[in-house]
Parts: sequence; C-alpha cells; structure tokens
Amino acid sequence: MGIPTVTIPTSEFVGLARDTVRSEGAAEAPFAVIPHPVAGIGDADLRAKVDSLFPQILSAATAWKPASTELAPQKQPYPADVFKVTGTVADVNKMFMSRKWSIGLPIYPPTPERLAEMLKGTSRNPDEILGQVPPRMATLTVELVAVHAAMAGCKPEYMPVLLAIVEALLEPKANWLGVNTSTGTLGLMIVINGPVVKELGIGSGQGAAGKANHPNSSMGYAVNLVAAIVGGSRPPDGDKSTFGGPQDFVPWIFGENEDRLPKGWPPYHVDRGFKRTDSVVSVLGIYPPVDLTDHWSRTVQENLSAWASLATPRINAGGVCRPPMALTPYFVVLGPEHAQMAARAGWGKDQFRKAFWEEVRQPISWYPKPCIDYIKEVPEYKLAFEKAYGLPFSGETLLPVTAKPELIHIVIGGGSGRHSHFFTPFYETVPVSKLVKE
Amino acid sequence: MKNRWLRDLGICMVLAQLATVPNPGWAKEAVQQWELVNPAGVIKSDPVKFVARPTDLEGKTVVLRWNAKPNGDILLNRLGELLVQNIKGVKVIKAWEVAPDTRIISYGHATSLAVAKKLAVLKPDLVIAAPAD
Repeated sequence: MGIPTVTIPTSEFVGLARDTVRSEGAAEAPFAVIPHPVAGIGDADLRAKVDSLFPQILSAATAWKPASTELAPQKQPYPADVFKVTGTVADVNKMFMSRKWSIGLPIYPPTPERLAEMLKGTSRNPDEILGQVPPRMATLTVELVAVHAAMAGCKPEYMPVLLAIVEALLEPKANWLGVNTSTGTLGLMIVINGPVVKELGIGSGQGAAGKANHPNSSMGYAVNLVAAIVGGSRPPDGDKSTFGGPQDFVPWIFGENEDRLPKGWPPYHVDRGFKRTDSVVSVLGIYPPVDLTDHWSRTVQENLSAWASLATPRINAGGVCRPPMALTPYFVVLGPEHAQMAARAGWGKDQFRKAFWEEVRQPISWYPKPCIDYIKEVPEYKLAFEKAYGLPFSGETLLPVTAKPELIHIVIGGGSGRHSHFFTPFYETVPVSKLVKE
Repeated sequence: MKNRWLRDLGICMVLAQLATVPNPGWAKEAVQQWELVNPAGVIKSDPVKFVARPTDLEGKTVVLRWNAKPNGDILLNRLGELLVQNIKGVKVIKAWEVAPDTRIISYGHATSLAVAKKLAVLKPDLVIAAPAD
C-alpha cells in the first residue's frame, strides 16, 4: 500500500517476527526491539522501556534501509529434492534433528522407495498443491504429505485421511497459524467419523486418543511433523509456546465411538451436515482438556452439576475479556457411560447441549480482575459482551461457557469408565470438517 | 525341588553358551548409502519492495496500531506522548480509538491485510505497531 511501517516486537518474539517477514516475501523489515516482557509489567516500567527505545523507533521510522533487497530465487515445490548421505539409521535421525527436520522422536528415513509406496495410498497427483503451512509458509504438496507420512511410519492406506486432516488445517478458520505459534499450551483435536474408522482400525473405544492405536499415533505424528518441518513451528522462535507439551508430538486424535452413541443421538459428522455413510475428519486448535472424573453421579442432572467447576473458557481468558470470543465453540467429549446417563433420562443430544449450557456456568468475578476492569472502562466492550450473552455485566452474573448452546459440540469418545473431557479451543479457531476422499 | 534345581542349572548353561559364542544372526546396524527426500518444502512468496521512509516526521501523520494484547496500549500511548513532545507538528492517531475494529489479533494474512486497509484509510505517513507479547 506504499505506507512505511515500524514494528515493535519484544526481544523474545523478534525471531518469530523475522520468520513471519521472510514468509511474506521480505528478507528483513524495520524493527525496534523492546526488552521482553511488555505484558504483565507495571505502567512505570513499561514507560521507561519505551523512553529508552524511542531513538531506535525514530531511526527505524526515518533511516532504515534494507541491507539486501531480494530473497534467494525460488525453487519449484515439486518434486522435492533428493539428496545422498552415508550412515546408519541413527545417523540419519541425528542429521535430521540437526537440520530441524525432526521433533526429537525417531523417524523412518524418507527414501524415494518409501515415498512411492506411500503415494500408492492416494489417487491424487503428487504435485497437487494443498497450501502453505504456517508460520514458515512453505508449500505443502501431496508428495510432501506422503514424505512426512513415511517418516512417521504411516501405512499407505492412511493417506486419504491424512490429506483430509491437513486440508482442514489449511483452512484459515482453523487458525493453524495460531496453534503453531502461540505462547499457549496448544495442540490439535482431530475427530474422525464414518466407515473409515473401522476400515483402518482407528482407535475409537478404550484409550481412543492414547497409545497402541497405530493409525492414530502415526497420522498424528505425521501432522505434527508437517507443522514443525514444513511450517517451522518449533521453539524457541517458530513455536512460542511457553511450556510446550506432549501434544506437540501427537495431537488428540481419535475416532468417535459411534457404536456407543445413545439411541437417537446422531454422530458428530452428521451434526456437521454430512451423511452418516461419509467418512469425515474434523479439526480444532485446543488447550489440554479437563478430565471430568465423575464416578458418583447417578443421573445426568447430578453429572451436569459436577461440570460447573471444571468446564471453563477461562483457560483462554474466555469470552469476557474479548467479546468476539463469546461466540467460541467448545467441545464436550462425553464418555459413553456419562452419555448413557442422559439417554436413561430420555434426553436427546440437543437437550443435553441446552442443559449443559444452562447448568454449567461460573461467576464473572472468577475472571482476572484487570480483564473485568478493562471491560468496564471500554463502553463498546461492555455493550458487545452484554449483546453477545444477553446478560448484564456485573460481578454476580453467572456466565455460560459460550454465548449460545448450539456452539457446544458433542462427541462420544473413549470406552468404559466414568470420564468425559472438556476442550477449550484456541482463540479465533472454529472446527473445520472435511470429507475423506480417495 | 531337585527337578527345579536341574532346570535352573540347564538355563544357566544355555545362557553361558550364548554369552561366549557369537551369533552370526545378530548383526551390527549397517552403515549404508541413503538416497533421501528433503521434507522441508519450499517457501513461496512474492518478493516485497519497501517504499522509501520519510526523512523526518515533522508535520507527518503517524498512526499507532494496537492489537488488544495486554499493555500494548500503554506502550503506544507513551510513544504517542514522546512523538508529540519531540517532533514538531506531528499528528498522532491511535487507531484503536478511531477504528476500534483494528484492535484485533490478526491470525493470518487475510486479516492482516484487512486491518492494513483500515489503517490506510487514516492516511498515515507512517504506521507503528506493537504486536506481542
């Protein structure tokens, strides 16, 4: 647009800022780097930092010139380069780790033979471009998905599901960029529905999202390899997660336990507008779930009262601090035994959803005080909040997890045992569902 | 008791044999020549050309952009004060006050572009942003 800019990243975030600039086509950009942190410090300290930085800001505004004007010439994304190396499998793994082509777990060396075998699992052309993986924005082709599938130890027949997953993630509303770069302890939830669950033996019952399910583990590993290697999502710069976690290795990936749906409850992909006979994947960026361990409740009403203190949007400072988040979707993965309590009461899925929305509420006063004070100071925020929730903004208001009951998504997950899980999604992400195609 | 003793003795004898006789079936991991596919992918981007910066900010319009992250407004408020105190005739516009819909985190190119267009409407000579964290 022909307008010069200056960006003020903190010292801890300048690496990510530089990577972002490169992914947008510039070798560098004018930054004025302020010592970290900015958030969470007092006004006087922050003002002192700005005072110290002022000369640098002025210099960036008026005197900055790029040292180099062009990036290196671009290669075509297909076919991927092939290179030679001598060593053992362990040596290959060590080399991949040093080149940032690994997330620290063993990989199968991606030979052209393994790649060719993997590509037999899909009828799609290997040169088909699927999109750019954030934050590094390298181009992802069908071929490159197969490379990562081979590294993760997937079977060729997993390719259609894997391709559907990455296509869903590449939709902007999935906010894969945010999941890959945020300071939050973020990961992915991937729900698989339809005939493909049984065809491939995707874990959907006992321990569905855990170990010992080869399709789940290997596909999840492949997705996260794509994010780390193609997308550059790795600490300390591409992935700014404060703490990280095991979800960085394998996401929460499971098949819905459609065999244990209460009578009359549609499976999740039918909720999403697909046919029961379709095979569908649904993805969402999420925080680690809360396990509702409820062995005591004998009725669904008792069960819902147990949720109230656990199911919370406050993990992400919820809808209160940012009014647009009032319309955030939340996920309830109901264990089959908890789902049966609703069924015994004669409740359909929508009835459970509405009851959850009405019963599971927490006082606004539980939110961080600066968040509450901020909303009180900004009139349009207070109005937006009250409009979204239809509730007065006061410390006594009991806030539902989200503004409308239809924003609560319900999936039946896992096997026997009285556990359900509540997933808070990441900021500005919504579930994205894709049909699995051959 | 005697049978168990004999059994245990037999096991020890077998283990002793295994420990002393190399088994040709247990090979060391082989060093080999690999042909491997590069998994990194290629970054696609349209090269950016930077416009010339103003040589000074006297009489210029500077737009400050805040993305709603905590304390970003305090940082930019102080910057605004310093600009006014130190630069003659500078006009400071706080985008979040005049265009509240720019006060968002833009998780991606499309939203960033939309925000940039809204900032451009303010006719800045320079935009300064404090994005994170």
